[in-house]
Amino acid sequence: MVFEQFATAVVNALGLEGALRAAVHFWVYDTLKITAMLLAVIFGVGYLRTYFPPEKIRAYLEGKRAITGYAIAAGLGIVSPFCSCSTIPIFLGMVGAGIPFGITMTFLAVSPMINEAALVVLPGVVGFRLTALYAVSGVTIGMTSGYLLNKAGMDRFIKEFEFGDADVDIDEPTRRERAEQAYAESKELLREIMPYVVVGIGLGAVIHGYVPQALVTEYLSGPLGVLGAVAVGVPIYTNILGVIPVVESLIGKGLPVGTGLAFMMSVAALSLPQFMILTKVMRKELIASFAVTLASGILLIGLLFNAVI
Amino acid sequence: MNITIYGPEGCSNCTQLKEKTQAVVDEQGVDAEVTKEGDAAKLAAKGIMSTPGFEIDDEIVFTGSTPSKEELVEIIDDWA
Repeated sequence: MVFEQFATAVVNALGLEGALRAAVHFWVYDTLKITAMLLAVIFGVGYLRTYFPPEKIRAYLEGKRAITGYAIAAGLGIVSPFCSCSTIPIFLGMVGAGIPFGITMTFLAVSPMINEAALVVLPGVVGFRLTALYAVSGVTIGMTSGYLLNKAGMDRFIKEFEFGDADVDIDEPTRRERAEQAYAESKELLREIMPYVVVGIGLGAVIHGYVPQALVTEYLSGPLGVLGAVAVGVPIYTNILGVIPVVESLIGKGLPVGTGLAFMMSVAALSLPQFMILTKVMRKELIASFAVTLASGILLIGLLFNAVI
Repeated sequence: MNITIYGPEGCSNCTQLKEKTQAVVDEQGVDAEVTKEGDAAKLAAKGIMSTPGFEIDDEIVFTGSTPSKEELVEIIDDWA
């Protein structure tokens, strides 16, 4: 591939050898590859998304209950824009419209955890099998968490808030307008995620070049490794696309797949900044039980995959 | 008039729209106060699901798009 050749040319030109060569090669190659894929996917999905504005989606979800509602909410979580600044207004809009609580929580859980860009980038770096596992388990965890929180009556901890109706006329946009909107959105998303991606690839490159394999297989591979991955992953935030290269190189060093998956999910799905925004509309009890439910689900999935695969 | 841009923290399109609007207001010499509102609960109260939301004098004009400077001039002119 062109990117591969380019990365090789760069390390040759710099006359790099050994670990540094491996690290720089990884960094250049992954940055080019991931950026190119992101550009294509984000623009494409952004264009399609103009056909499904959140107001329309909400209207569609109203009155839906039980399993179809949860499944649709999870699907929407995947294709919704993956910036927490757009997830939360959509979530609140759903709550305000009286969409069943469990369904809205499923959306809130799945949206940051899985998105179309990750689904396209992941097969290239960790393979199709892991990508499929990631998607299926993410959806399962999101739906189960929404269901359980609802059963536990946690909706009483949603703060009272007013919900208005913006009542903006949405004209059917022209093709040109859709493309413009998709372009504006891609630009914004890229600006938001690129720092995470570049740092993530940098970290991945350092691990790839310098972290001894024995360290990973010895200390990070047991069941405690999964627990540690989740404990570290929950508070920190990076975009899912930023954590992919880190997990890619850790798995390359012998990190068990379940542990890698658990780390990826916990980093993306839960984070302190997100909790801060949610305190505006949820009581602490709900945020805590949301976090605990998701974290337990992720932990279980991690342990299960390590045991089975 | 009062122009409010609704957009939570971390939404760079929203910050940009605020700056663009301020620039239009300054250049056109429109008598308007431009502010940005980041509180998620306030967005909900206005019924905004797609960011940014653009409000003139308590009425939401558009949501979820970032018009060009020329379009903003037109929107503000139409209102005045």
